[in-house]
Parts: sequence; structure tokens; C-alpha cells
Amino acid sequence: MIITEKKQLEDIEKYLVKSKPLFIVGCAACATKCRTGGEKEVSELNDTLKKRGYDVAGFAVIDTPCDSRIVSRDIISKIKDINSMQLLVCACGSGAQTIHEVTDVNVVSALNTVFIGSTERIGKIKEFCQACGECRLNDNEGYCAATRCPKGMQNAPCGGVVDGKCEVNPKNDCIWYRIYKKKKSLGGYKAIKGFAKSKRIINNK
Amino acid sequence: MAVSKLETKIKNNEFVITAEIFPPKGVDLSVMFSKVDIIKPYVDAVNVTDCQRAVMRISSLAVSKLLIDKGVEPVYQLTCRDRNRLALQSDILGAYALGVRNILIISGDYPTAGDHPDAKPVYDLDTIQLIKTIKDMEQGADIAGKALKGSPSFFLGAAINPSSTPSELAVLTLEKKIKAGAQFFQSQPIFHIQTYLDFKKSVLFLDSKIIVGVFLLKSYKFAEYISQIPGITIPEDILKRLKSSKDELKEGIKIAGELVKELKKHAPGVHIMAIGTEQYIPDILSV
Repeated sequence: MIITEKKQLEDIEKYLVKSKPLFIVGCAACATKCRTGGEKEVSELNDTLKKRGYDVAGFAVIDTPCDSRIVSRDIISKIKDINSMQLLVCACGSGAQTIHEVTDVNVVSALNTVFIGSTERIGKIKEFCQACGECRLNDNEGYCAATRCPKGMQNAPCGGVVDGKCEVNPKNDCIWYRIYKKKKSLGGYKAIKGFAKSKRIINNK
Repeated sequence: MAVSKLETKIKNNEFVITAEIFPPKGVDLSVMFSKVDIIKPYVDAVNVTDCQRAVMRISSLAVSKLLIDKGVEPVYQLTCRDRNRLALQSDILGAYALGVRNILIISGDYPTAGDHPDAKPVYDLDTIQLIKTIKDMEQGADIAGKALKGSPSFFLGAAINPSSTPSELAVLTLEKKIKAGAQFFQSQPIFHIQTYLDFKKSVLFLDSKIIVGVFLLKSYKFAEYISQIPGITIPEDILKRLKSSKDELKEGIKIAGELVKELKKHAPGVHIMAIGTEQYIPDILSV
């Protein structure tokens, strides 16, 4: 899931104007799960901004803002007088930018996009994937060494692993410790000895 | 110069002594050079750190060249942290052209440890990939497969931490680094000869040359402080020995000196870390 966090209200208001009506757009997928852009959060934002003197014309949670066809169909063509409005988006950077692509009105982001994460429980979400396009989970017993090792060590741990803990984030296990434990338990010590080539960086396409 | 003194001595099984200097944060190198002058008569080569602790300092490549100009053989330290594969290969070619022959590849302390915590950590290549890259360049091509106009040739080193646990991971790391082409190693400091002997036993199947780190603990307070540094584990009995001594510095010199004496019997060399206490290196060596 794409993990988002709420921006501080002061940081959002810098970009809003009181003179234009405001429409709030939320996201039915990741932002709903993150409790940053679902029905509840968008409704609360509606109440808060009304109290602060904004003319909130309405709000809608769409499925999903990161699809320009959905945005055009469910927001742009649905809202009367949209060209006189400003939009506040409770979605990830992809959703927010998609809305920017299909309208010329002022679009303001209410969220910061943090990472692709895995939820253990509320308040404990960790970055698990960096969308490199060259997944090596099958070679590494299901652990992404690029994302979960701060140094992205592809072949072996750095020298800082003590008691199996990461030198950069000592609360975390060294991911190579996890890989090694699993390989050992599956009898696959040989498998850990190959040479992992450097990755392509797909942003460069 | 074809082959470094360090390489020649190690290949001839002659005991080597290295030390390290930290390039300063700035262009005034006078204090750094005065430390070099102190340690020069006692060492075979001097390591030049690359923004260690992720603190911005003057370039290790520049300082390595300046050491060569002063007749001192450097070990050019290069981390994976700050440079992508273009810059790494470029600097490596530059190092050779400037006369550098000893190179030590390390992953590098993560930016959050230092004074520029928001710096982008690069790690385009990891240590094992970078070691292999240098080996490829020595064979005449860069890692894009393009032929080089003149190939470098180095005495290629990497780091090892004999106190890293579980020890199987340290053994795996050593094995992979040797396979990738590392010819020598310098280790994090140890404080008991047994730490080295145990580690050596576990890697007997590998032909590894480890120049073992020895730290001068100038005081109990200092020992407490450096035990926070990743990779450095100071045993309780050493801390007790310092704390209960009448002259902590003298005790620290004794601890280091005794270890060097023992290592002379078992290891190819020692790497003395005497930060801010370089003037006591001769005392350590004469214990």
C-alpha cells in the first residue's frame, strides 16, 4: 500500500484562498486504509475548514484519484462551476498529480506520500518495497535487501551487524541476518553465495 | 610506481604496520600533516578516511595524492555511500593516475550518523560489486563493458569486522569479498588476541590477509565514548582495567602494546588507531 501522512493544516492553508469555493477529493484505496483520505477524514476536514471560514462546496471519495478517466468522470464533469473552484486532494502524490493533469484550477495536496509499506498494526508501518522493477525476493528468501537494508547491500551485510541488529537502525534486525536465518533453516547455505549484480535504475528510462 | 610497499611486504610475509589520518573539514591541512610527520617513521602505509562517520571532510583522494607528494604511501579509502558507478569508476581511474596503489573499499557510515543527515545516500554499488568493478577495470573494461584506454592496477583491500555477530555472517562477507577480488583486509579494532584467533579459525578455509585493528584507549571516558561507534565492541574487562588503573593513558598504551606483540605472532599486520594520540604510537610499538 502507498503510505500517506497528513500535512499540517498551516502548511495546507498557505496554498488555499478564502475567496474561492473549495471541493475536497479523497481516495477510496490506499488513503482510506491509511486513514488520511477516506470518508471519515474528508468529512472531518470539511468540518474543520468550514469552521476556519472556507466555503466548502462539497467532498467526494473516489476510486481512485490516480486514474485520469475516473477523475474526469467523477469529479471534473460532475461538479457544477468547477472552474470557479479550488480542489483539496487527500491522496498520494500520484493521485494528486493525476488531478493536476486533468484540470487547470488550483489543486492543493493535503497529504505527504511516504513509501510503499506493509502494515503490522496501527502506528507500525514499515517500508518494504521501492518499486525498482527488478525484484529479487525469490533470491533473497522474501526479504528486499535494497529497501530493508539502509545501505541497500545486495550481496552481504556491512560490518556493522552485531547480535543480528542493523547498525543504522539498531531496533531492526539486519535484513541479511533474516535472509541467512531463513536460508540456513531451508538448508540453502549454498544459495546465499552467488554474486548479485548491480541493479538498473529504472527512473532513468 | 608499479607495486606498493604494502603489497610487497604482505606478499613476502613481512609484518606490516598501518595507521590512519582523518582529513580535516576545510583546506588547512597543517595539523593533519604534523600528525603524518609523527607517524611516518613507524608505518608502512597511512589510511586516508573518506568522510568517516558521514561527516563532510576534504576529499580522501586529494589527501592521498598530497601524502604521496610527501613521500608517504597512502591507503585510499573509498566508500559506496556518496558516489554512483560513474563517479566511482572515474575517481578510481584518477587515483591510479595520481599514483595511488592501495585502495580500501568500505560501505561507509550512513548519512544519518553524521553532520549532513539529509544527504542522499547513493549506494549505487555495494562493496562486493565495487570490488568486482575494480577487478573488471584492471582487466581493461568498465562495468558498461567498454574498453579502457589504459587499465589501473591496485592492491585491493576491504574491511572486515571480526566482532560482528552472528559470526557466520562475517565469514560469509569475507568469503564473498575474497571471491570478488579483495587481496587484503583491514579489520575493526579488537581488544583480545582470542577474538582474532577465533575468527581466524573460522576462516582457515579462505586465504585471507587481515591487518588487524588495534585501538589506543587513552582513558576510560574515551573508551566509553568510542564503544558507541558502530563496529566497535569493547569488552568489560578492558574497561575495568582502564577504570581501575592509576594512569589510564599508560594502561591504554600497555593494552594496545600487548595486543600488537601477540598479533605479531599470528597476523600479517596491525592497523593502529590512535586518534589524537599519534605521538604514542612509538610507545605502543615498544611495549
